[in-house]
This record gives sequence, C-alpha cells and structure tokens, in this order.
Amino acid sequence: MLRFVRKYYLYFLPSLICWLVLLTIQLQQSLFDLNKGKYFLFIPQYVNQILLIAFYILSLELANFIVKKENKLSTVEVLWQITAFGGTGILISVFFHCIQHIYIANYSSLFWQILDKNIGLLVAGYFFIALTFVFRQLIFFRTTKRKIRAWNFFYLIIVLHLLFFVSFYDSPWINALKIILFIMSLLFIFYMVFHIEWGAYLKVQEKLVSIVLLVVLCIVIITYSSFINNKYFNNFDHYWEFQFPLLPIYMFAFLYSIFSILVLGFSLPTSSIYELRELENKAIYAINRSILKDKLNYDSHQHKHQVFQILLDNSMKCSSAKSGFIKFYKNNQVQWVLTNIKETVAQLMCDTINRYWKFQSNKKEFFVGDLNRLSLLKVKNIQEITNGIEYLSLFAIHIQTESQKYGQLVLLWDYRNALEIEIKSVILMLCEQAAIAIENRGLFENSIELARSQQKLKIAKDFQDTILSACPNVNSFDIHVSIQEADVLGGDYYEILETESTIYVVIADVSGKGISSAFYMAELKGCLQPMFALSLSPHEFIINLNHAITRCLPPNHFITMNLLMIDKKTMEANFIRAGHPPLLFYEAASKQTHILQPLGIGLNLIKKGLFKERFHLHSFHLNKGDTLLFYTDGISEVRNDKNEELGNELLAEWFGIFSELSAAEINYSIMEQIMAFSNQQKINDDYTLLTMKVL
Amino acid sequence: MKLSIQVIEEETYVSLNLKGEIDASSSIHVQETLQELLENGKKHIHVNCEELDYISSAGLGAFMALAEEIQSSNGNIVFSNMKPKILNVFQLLGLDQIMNIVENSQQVVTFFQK
Repeated sequence: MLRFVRKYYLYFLPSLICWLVLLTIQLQQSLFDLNKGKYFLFIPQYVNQILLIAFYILSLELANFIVKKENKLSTVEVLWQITAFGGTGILISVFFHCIQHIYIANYSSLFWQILDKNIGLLVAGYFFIALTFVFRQLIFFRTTKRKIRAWNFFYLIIVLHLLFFVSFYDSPWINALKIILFIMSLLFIFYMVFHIEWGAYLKVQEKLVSIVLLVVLCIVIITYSSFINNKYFNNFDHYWEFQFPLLPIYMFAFLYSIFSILVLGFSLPTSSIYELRELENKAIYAINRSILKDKLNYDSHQHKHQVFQILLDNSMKCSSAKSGFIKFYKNNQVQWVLTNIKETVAQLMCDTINRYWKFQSNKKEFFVGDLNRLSLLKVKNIQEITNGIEYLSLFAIHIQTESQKYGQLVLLWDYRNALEIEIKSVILMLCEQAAIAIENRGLFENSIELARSQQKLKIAKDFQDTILSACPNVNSFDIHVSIQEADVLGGDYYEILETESTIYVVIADVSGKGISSAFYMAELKGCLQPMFALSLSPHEFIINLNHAITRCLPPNHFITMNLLMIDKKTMEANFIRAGHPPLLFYEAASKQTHILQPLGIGLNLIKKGLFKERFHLHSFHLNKGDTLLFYTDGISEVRNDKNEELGNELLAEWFGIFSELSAAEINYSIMEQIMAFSNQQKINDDYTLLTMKVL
Repeated sequence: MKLSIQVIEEETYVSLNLKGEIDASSSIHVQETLQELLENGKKHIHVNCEELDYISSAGLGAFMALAEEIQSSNGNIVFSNMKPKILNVFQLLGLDQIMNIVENSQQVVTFFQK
C-alpha cells in the first residue's frame, strides 16, 4: 500500500508542480502585458511548452499506473466512472468561466482568464488521459498479444506526438512527421474501434444504460472541446496548447464513443466475438457428436482421447494460448494430449500445479496472470527445455462432472493477464461439455450392455417357460394354475405329472429371487424327472430328492416343496410337506376346509442323516367335488396397508367360500380378494396358485 | 426398515442382537457378521430375535449356510426371544427340528452351561 502511494505521488506531484509552474509563468507573463512590456523575469516560450509536455507525459504515466493497479470493474461501471469524471470536469470549467465574467476589472479579469485557461488545461488533460485509459480497459476486454502490441505502439505515438510539439523543433520535416504520426495514430484508433467486443456480452438493460452514458460522454467531449476552442482559439495564438498535443487522445475518445454507440445500437458485427461464439458452438457440436461417431467401433478410452483433443484444440483457439495440454488416466497410467509442449515440460508443470491444488482443494479451476510473481508456481530453469519460451500466464481446470474427475486441462501463454473472464467462461463450458460427453458415452455403453443383458434374460425366460410345463389335462380333475415372477425370472416351480398308476403334483419354491433362484429351479427339475419313473414311496421320494439337491445347491439356498401323490385307481392321496406353506383341502362331503401342515423340513437344510421321521405323511381319500389349493409363500405372505400378513387361515376361509366354483374361477376369485386385501394392483413377489378339483 | 446388528460378547458366548428386517440385501450383513465371528474363533453364538420383525427365505439361508459350519466345529448357535411370526417361519420350514430355539435369554445361559 505504502509503495503504491509512494509511486502514485512520484507521478502526481511532478505533474502538479509542472502545472503550477506553468500557471505562475503565464500569470507573470500576463502581468508583463499589463506593465507595458516589462517582464519581471523573461521566460522563453519553449519552457512553457516543455512544462506542458512534461505535464501531459507525467499525467499519462500516472493514468497508466492507476489503471494497471485498479481492480477490474464491469463495463457499465467503467462508463459510469468516466461520464461522472467528464461531467465534474465540465462543471469545474464552467465554474471558473463564470467567475471570470463576474470580475470585470481589467486586472482581475485577465488573472481569472489565465486561471480559467490553466484549470481548463488541467481538467482537459486529466479528463482525456483518464478517458483513454478507462477505454483501455474496455479494449482489453479480451486480451490478445496483437492488441497489447497495438496499444503499446499507440501509447508510443501519443508520447512522440507530444514531444514533437515543442516549438524549437518546428521545421517542415518535423511538421511532416507530426502529420505521419497523426495518421498512424488514426490507424491504431480504427484498429481498436473495430475490435469492440464488450458490447456483445451486455444484457439489454446494460446496453441501454451504456448507450445513454456514451451519448452523454460524446456530448461532454464535444462541449468540452468547443468550449475550450471558443475561449482560447480566438484569443491566443498558441492554440496548440490545448488541442493539438492531445489530438490523438481526443480523436480516440471521440471515435471510440461514437463507434461504441453504433455497435451497441445496431449490433454491428465489428469484432471477433461472433467468431468466438461460432467456435464455441462448433466445439460443443463436435464434442457431442463424438458420442455417437462410429457408434462403438472404438473403445471408451479412444473416445476420451478424441474428446480431449477437440477440447484442447478449441480452448487454445479461443484463448490464443501458446501451449496447452490435458492430463488424464487410463488404467492408472498417465496419458497426455499435448499441443506445442513437450511431455517432460507438461509433467514438470503438472507437478508444480499439484502443489497449488493442495491449497485450493475446493476449487475447480484457477488462473495465474503473472507466473513470475507467484513463486509457488515458478518452475526453475524451465526455459532450458521450452526452447526459450517463457510462460507468464497459466490456467488450470479439472474436467469433471459432479460424480467424477476425468482429467485436467492446462493452458499456457507467453504474456501476462492473458485470460479474460468471457474466454474463461467459454473454456469452463467446453470442459463441462467434454465431461458430460464422456459420462454420457459411459452411460451409452452401459445402456447397450443392459440391452444385451436383457436379451440374454429373455432367452433365459423363454427357457424357464419351457421348464414350467403347461397345465396338463388330467382325467377326472379340473386344474388351473396362476403363476407370476416378481423379476423376469422366478424361483417358483410346479409340475403335474401323470404316470400309469399315479398322479404327481409338485409345487416348490427356491429361496431368494431372480437369476440364481431360476437356475436352482432348473436343477430341481433335473433332479425330479428321473424320480417320477421310479415308483418310489413318498418318503423315499423326498429323501432321495434331498440327497440329489444337496449336491446341486450351495449351503445358503434351500427349496421348500409340497408333494402330493394320488393313486389313480383308489383316489388315495399321500401328502408330504418339505418346509412349504400348507396344502388347503376342501372336503365337499363335510363342506370343510382343512389346512394340511404335517411335519416336514425344507430341502438342502440337512445334508446328512435326514431320517424318515423328519417328515410326517398325511394320507386322505379324494371324492368328487373335493378341491385342493397349492400355493407358494408369495400368496400367504401378502401384506395389507397395516403391514399384516394374509396368512393361511384367511386364505383357507376364502378358499372354502369359493370352492364350489370351477378351478379357474376359484383362482380368479382368490386373486381378486388378495388384491382387495393388499390394496394393490399387483403382487410384488413370485407367486403360484394351483387349484385341483375332483370331477 | 433397515436391519441393525449389535454384537455383544458375553462370558461364554457372543450375542447377536438383531433389530428390524432381514431380507435378501440385509442377509448379506448377517452372513458377514457370522463369518467374522467364526474366523475370530467364536463358536458359541446366541441370536437374539427379540426385535426382529421379519425374515425372508434369503435371511434364513444366511443362517443355514453357517449353522452347519458352526456345528461341525463343535460350536453352537441358539435363537431366542422369537416373535410368534418369526417362530412360525422357522416351524413352517422345519428349522425348529434342527436348530436350537429357546424362549428367553435366561434359557440361553442355561443352554450354553450345558
């Protein structure tokens, strides 16, 4: 802060002293006029001129210094600032002009004229110089190397122009040079007014405010110059004191204001900003297109590489970066996309940047406008390996979505303060698009994988449907089966098989759900089929089946099963329950429903020593009108809104009510009741409902 | 409702307090916990079902897979304080025939003393 103040006064004080000395000299010269040609002290004319030029040059340097130091303001704020400044200048000038007319006496009138002239000189000098440097901020809305060069050259011309106005250089050659300098300054002015870029970024309201402010500014400039011209141009010979030395600045301020109004008012395509927008659109299009390009002929890594290449090319194009690279990983190995930089340099840069990231853990990106000032990011002896390129600006950004980081983009420039806020926002958006494209590509691949899996599941489902035999027609029985899988594949199984002497009815449920259950269900089918032909007793059947099942199933899976064997001749039924929900038996003669739940244990729960005693056989006789209801736990465990289970008792009650109906009607009626009970349209579990009625 | 498992080391056995519901996804945690206990040489395990509201077939499978292993290494697993609904599931499946089920925690102590 102290250093700033000290430097500030280094420019301000001398310029003020120059002005004061100038004022004193002119006052004493006026006094000479009044004293009829007798000077107090003779001062040559060129001293005046030198002082004036020194005043201007020091003011220029002061403005230059202040602008460099100042925090960046928004465009409209800049315009407010300069209009307010100009307005104040006008007021001060008008104030002194009025004072001059109040004091009519010769002596004082001349004194006030001199004072007025010099105040006008001071304000005009500061106003136009400040105006120029504030406009500089607008010009460097987008910094490019060419613009920096153009501005520096323009500044040099202003200074030279000032220097050549000291009169003892007055000769035809010097005059010609002045004209050349003026024309050159005009060329630079036109170059800059044709690169008005800030206008394109303004909102409608900001645009209107800017136009109003610029119009006011133009009026201020015109009034100011004509005001000073009228006053002094006629009265004094040395008109150059006011207008000519600052002519390039005056022209620049006026033309820049006029062009800005035109650009804002008619949205004239004056600048490369439209090219930038076009570049941005093209890049986004290319990135998005890469997702579908060539479909899946190349893997996701190649896609990532391609997206990063597009991202780097376009980021460099719109930011005019000297070099750039993207670092990313493939299977934990570092990969690079490099432009105009060696891998070793990029690696060196990354190591340095990583140190910086550690202090900026929450940040997504950072920009350093002057690498030399930030010792943390200073790479020692880097110029030895960069072929003499000195990197002065650096921008680093993570390419990431909310869920994942994909890589890091780094852009490097060989000049200071290279990245403007608008370019930065374009790069931010490109990075975001790239990350989204990579993520979408992943999702796209997943969806294709999912479609393949679904195709495979469909094959499995078709296979499972063939395992579950269609409900057969068995003589003297009316049979109906309702079955549903919660997933594509289910673990419920049923089989009705008629041999010469026996009808086998099997209903089973494999523990768990989905694919694993479906596979074990297929295993069960494989184990069951040969046993039907062996004419085994119910106990032998279940013990042998358990033995076979234990070889197929892992220990954390089991199967529950109900097995009913009906002798076709005698209609004697033998029922064995292996851990399955009970069998419901409606006896037509007594009109009673029995819940048959003899002792039994699930299959695969005991590997060795499964004894006959573990299963109780329940035998009964079937008569005409008797009805049997087999079901899986998907039915009995249905819950209602109060989280109460349906249970076997309520199911048996409904079964008793509907048992006079046909098998299909019984199933439908029970299902309707279940839906009403659960207050849902669908049961979210595997279920099987099998009804057999003796005809 | 999720399942919470609390492991309490008693003098001669380890108690597993189950709270909530054991379905296909939470059964994995039960299996992992039991496996860990076995690996640490805890062979006498008490499963307290006092606050267990539901157990699916996959949940039962998790116990079955390790019950055999526990018994073959001369250990014991005992279930206690079952709600009628849970006990009914065990009985329906026939697990009451092969598993040790006691009514309350006092009986667990007696069980392991034997």
